Amino acid sequence: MTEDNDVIYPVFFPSSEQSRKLSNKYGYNEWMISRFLNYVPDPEKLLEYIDNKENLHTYVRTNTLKIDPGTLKRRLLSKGFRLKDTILDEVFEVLIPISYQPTHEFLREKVHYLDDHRDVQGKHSLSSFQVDKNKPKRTKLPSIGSTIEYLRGYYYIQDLSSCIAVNELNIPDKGHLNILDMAAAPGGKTTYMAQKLQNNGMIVACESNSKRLSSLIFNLSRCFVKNAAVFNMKSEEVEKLEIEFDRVLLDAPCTCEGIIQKDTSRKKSRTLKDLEICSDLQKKMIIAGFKVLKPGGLMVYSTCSFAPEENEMVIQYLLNSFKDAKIEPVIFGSEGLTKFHEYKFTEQMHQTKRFYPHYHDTNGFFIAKIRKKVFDTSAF
Amino acid sequence: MPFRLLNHVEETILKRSFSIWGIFELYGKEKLIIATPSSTMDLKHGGLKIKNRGIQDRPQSFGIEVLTNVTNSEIFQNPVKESNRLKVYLCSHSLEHVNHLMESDPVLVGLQIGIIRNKKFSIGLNFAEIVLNYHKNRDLDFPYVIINGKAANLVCFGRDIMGNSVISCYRKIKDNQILIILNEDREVLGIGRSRFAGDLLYRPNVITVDTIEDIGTFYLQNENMSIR
Repeated sequence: MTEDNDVIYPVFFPSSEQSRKLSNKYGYNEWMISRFLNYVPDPEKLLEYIDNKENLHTYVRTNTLKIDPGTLKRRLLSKGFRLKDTILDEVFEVLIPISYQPTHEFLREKVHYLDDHRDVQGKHSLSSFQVDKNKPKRTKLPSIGSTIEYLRGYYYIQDLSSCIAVNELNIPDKGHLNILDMAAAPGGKTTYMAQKLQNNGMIVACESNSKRLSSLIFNLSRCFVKNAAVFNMKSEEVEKLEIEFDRVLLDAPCTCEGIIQKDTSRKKSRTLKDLEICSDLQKKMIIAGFKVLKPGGLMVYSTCSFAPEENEMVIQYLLNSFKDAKIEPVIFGSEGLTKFHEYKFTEQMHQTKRFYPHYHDTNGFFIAKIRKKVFDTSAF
Repeated sequence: MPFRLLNHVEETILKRSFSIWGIFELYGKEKLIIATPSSTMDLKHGGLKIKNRGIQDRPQSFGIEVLTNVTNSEIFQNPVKESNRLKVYLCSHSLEHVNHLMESDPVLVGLQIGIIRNKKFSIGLNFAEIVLNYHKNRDLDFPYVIINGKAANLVCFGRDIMGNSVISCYRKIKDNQILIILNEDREVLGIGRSRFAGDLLYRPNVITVDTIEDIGTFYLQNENMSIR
């Protein structure tokens, strides 16, 4: 793979006794399980974790254009929500109500450990516990998506892994940067970038699907974003805008293997052909995004998928196409794959990061950070 | 051109509105631009079709012109009606290349703050937010009504306001006047229209303020659609 772009993908692994058993037990397509067994660590734990709805995590990201994280936290605590700090100051995990007693052994263990401010998963844990212990027990809470605070745009319900992807763009406070969001709807990452810029600079948000525009526009409005321009266009054609960007975020359309916990229909609805289609599209998009990146600029590529064809292979394709593309390390998460099946990727691929629900309490996610070197911009 | 800069008439209209709402000092600090109706018609292959009911009902809140059950030919036959609605957007001054962006057929540039129709400016929720931010540590010197918590929850989903729920209001309020609806924390919940003047807004057991726009209807309608 490092030398040759003409690889055969997606990779199909033959079925086995184990894949048959797990496929029947958890209701997946067997080819998916066969693949998981080859690139997901502790695949059985992952399947068991995903299968348990109690393991679903909800995160909220403070919209600092409207409120500061401390004030938001106080307000939500006063309403009876239990919040847990995360590695990002403005992101909180919303916990199950106090009256709820987890029956699952893993969850019980987790709450116990977190109360002691220790890591459940050792090095993998991304958050520490904080609750208002004076709050009386409550059994009925409004949905986190129906509070006045939410409607007023004080926070955005967004997975921690998505927030980390934006955080990796290294946007300086009040930075006057030009940023491109290549697949913007419904606007979670776009609004986060706007708040990082504190409504300075410029965000160009592309969305090719006109049906998804309404949610994007609404969220930009709700979160009080003043520095964004939205285009209903394919981001592969972004060169037409004739603008160069300091930062490019490509949260690429993908098979969404990483959010099966939230959308169980994906256990069966995806085919190998979908994987191939997504991978082709992702390659086109990443090339287009890299072309409009200024020398010295930074690109973050992310997907909510575990599939190497949608992640490491796409990054390797970029590295093979542009000699001025360089991987930079992402801080959080598990290391990216340096080999998959018969393919070997560049050694730096370990600096990309993967997020696994059963390790990190997030969606399944992949983040790569690519710098465009200053000295040379030509493709070969 | 979908988006353009203000002309003199529009500038005058907006300056007057900024003045009425006590934020004239803010005028010109950030760039204001106009989206013309034709812009939204040719968005993509002859008309933006948005199925979201919440947006269809109150498109001006979301910066979108939605042409429900109207064919393009009908619009072209009746251009005067549509051309009366001009959406006003506020952009950060730092939004570079604004002119260039406006020429590239964007769907949105900046933040919609209201619409100009028949030479009058109708404020949107974001404009109300700007007014509130400006008056953060000052007396509220603009038409407003503050309502109690119970009413606040109802107003968020489109209910009108009973006099019993009014905690305080702008003293010089007239009947049939546009006002900003606030909760006890002085946060914008919506935009309303007074049915009565001054202290009559406190009249118990009658609706004294009609809610014309609120922060929650979009979600409620979305949810109802998903249930259906």
